[in-house]
Amino acid sequence: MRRENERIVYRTDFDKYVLISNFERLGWTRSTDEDFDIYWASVHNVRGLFNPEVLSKRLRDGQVVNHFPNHYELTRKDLMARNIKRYRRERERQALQEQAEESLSSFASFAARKKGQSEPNLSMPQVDRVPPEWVPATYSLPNDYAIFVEEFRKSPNSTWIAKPTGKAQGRGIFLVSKLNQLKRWSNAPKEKNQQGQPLPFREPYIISRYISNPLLVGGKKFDMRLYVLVTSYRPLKVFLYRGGFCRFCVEQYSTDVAEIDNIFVHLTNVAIQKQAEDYNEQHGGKWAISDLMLFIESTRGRAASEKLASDMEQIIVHTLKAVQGIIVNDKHCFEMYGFDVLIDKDLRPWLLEVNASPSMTTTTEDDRLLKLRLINDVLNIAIQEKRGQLEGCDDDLILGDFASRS
Amino acid sequence: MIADYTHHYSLRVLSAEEAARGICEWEWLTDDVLRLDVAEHCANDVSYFPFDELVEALVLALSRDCEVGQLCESGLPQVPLVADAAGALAVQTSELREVRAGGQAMPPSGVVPFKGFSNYACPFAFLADRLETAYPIFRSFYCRHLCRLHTISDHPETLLSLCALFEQLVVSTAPRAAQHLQFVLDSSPLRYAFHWIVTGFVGSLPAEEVLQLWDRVLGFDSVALVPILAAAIVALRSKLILAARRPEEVQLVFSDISCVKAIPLLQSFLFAHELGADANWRTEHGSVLSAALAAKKAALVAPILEAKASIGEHDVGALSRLFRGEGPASTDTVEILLQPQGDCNA
Repeated sequence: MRRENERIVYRTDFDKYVLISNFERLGWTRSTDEDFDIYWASVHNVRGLFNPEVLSKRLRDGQVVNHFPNHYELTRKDLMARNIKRYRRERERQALQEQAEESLSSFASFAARKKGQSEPNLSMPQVDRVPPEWVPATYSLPNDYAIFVEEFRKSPNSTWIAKPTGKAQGRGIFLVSKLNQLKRWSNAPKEKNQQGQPLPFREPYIISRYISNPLLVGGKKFDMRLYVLVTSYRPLKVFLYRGGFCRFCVEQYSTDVAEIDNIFVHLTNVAIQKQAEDYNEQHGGKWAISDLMLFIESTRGRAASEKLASDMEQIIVHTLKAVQGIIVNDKHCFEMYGFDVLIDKDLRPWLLEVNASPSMTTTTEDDRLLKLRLINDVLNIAIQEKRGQLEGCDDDLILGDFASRS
Repeated sequence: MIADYTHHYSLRVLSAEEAARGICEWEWLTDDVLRLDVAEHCANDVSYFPFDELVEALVLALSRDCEVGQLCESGLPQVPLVADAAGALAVQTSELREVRAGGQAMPPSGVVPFKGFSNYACPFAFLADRLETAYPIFRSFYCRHLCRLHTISDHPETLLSLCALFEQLVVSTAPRAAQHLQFVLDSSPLRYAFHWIVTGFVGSLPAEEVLQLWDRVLGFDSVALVPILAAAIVALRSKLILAARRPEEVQLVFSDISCVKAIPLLQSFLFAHELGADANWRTEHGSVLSAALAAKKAALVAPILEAKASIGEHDVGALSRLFRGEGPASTDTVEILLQPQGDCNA
């Protein structure tokens, strides 16, 4: 990458104010072709960029792009659920194994002491405790339909939420409390699977257990948008942005069966809430995470709010670790993810999804300020990191509102 | 308007517990006023909007609580609106107690809401998620401290004396800024800080800072900390004020205090001499302010006279010239500053 005093060239697929104004403030020039230092790309174009068959589009040394080649392992709802499930199983197995080894070696040390020998070296790697389940049980439709039905019948009063794997902004999402509600979305003519049974869905869907007891503030449901910057997967370098926000529903939350179809009660996506009658443009339903923490500290105590913050960090780190081994760790890449987290009544965080292209649209003034600063910090860190200058750097000035974990 | 409340007259007013449970058997004329106020302030605020329903419940409950009028230590904040036996609206000048025999205060608490009144309840929504828990805290704090912020009377530590304290502190700690506002911009620091004082900083400082400040008000048992913080902020920004050439620029200086840390600022303002501050003016005024707090029930005169005496010893430039009758100050200003504040003790 060109050094600081030289002109840096950027390319972007998004003409968003928060992006462009940051690029211009830094004095960068815009390019629309292959001559760029940094490319803020759409996921669609990135696919072409990393296509092994198109050598001409290969990234040169010093070029940086804002996505990893196979980010979808994390950002597609079905793949994310699958990867995390696999990760947890592996870690649990590993933990059991280490437990066995530990008992074995403490047994050995006991035996050694009896014999008057010195203690054997107990230097075993400490396995980070994997947090309890943080992704709700998820099944792919139509592939896992049969397994899902079995699970559904086991818990008769449960509610499930169906989401299309390929869509965003809350489109196509609906809640299911009875099996026949799924049939609504089946289309004629239906495709048939290998057994000759009709497939109920047109496009790939996932269905997850719905968290019906979310933490409510002022009687309303909300979820959290957390920004996470990853500049490398191996070793894992993660930066968590302190300025996340909560997205509120306009309507009071209700588990009333009559309200199951009311998307204004259940779905927190801004794109949806914007259409509600009582949507307020002053605050846009966006609440600072620091205010949430103040509320939890005031109503449940400091220990609870600190534990929640720590739990949230844990699930972010472990989610990234789950795909650490399979993401192509291309040194040209960094990525800013939007993690969607929901907190339930017991202050337990649940990961709903990870977005590869979190929205850069701004709905309120505070929102604009937050995203401007976010991009500013992302660009600063990404550039510095890619120049290898950030080893062991805790400088607030460079990290901005990000806190690093490596 | 008379017809609206004629049939409310002689209704049972709610006890404190009933108000706490949010019982709304009857609609009062002020209910819509309060709802509108919540919709205009709380529901639009980036920090308080999730709590709009709880805040509405809190202020409505307070308005129905008939004991509030008596509990306010500094008396009723303003002359109550009363419906007399004939159902006609009569504005009486007597205390609420005397009124009860013949008429009904409207609302029952005797406190007539004004624009921004619902701000008082907002920070309490952070402290509890249910009305039954939040209301008693809100009620006690309101009756003991918050009501003073909008009470216009000669009781100590009510709005008039709080504003006077603010002005005196600004004049003694940021004299050049005060002068600049007065003579160059034909304005006064109070014009900008008044809003902070009346609301207790709700909506101006972040929720956490407001709660910390109100904590100290509780601890010191004095609402004087509100104007003192206001003066501290003016002193903090005195350089910016001096640089301002137009009213819009001054407005800008006062418009955003969201990054102010209330407690460290208060501490350095009040206890500078204990913290070993370098600046002479901080040292002197630190002791003056501590004295002001300790002697909150005594006359406000003594600390101010003390300030004047000590100012003479140190060269604080314009202010001492002011007291000696020199400089561009008008004699009126000097008169006002030197007048004993005896009226406050009536």
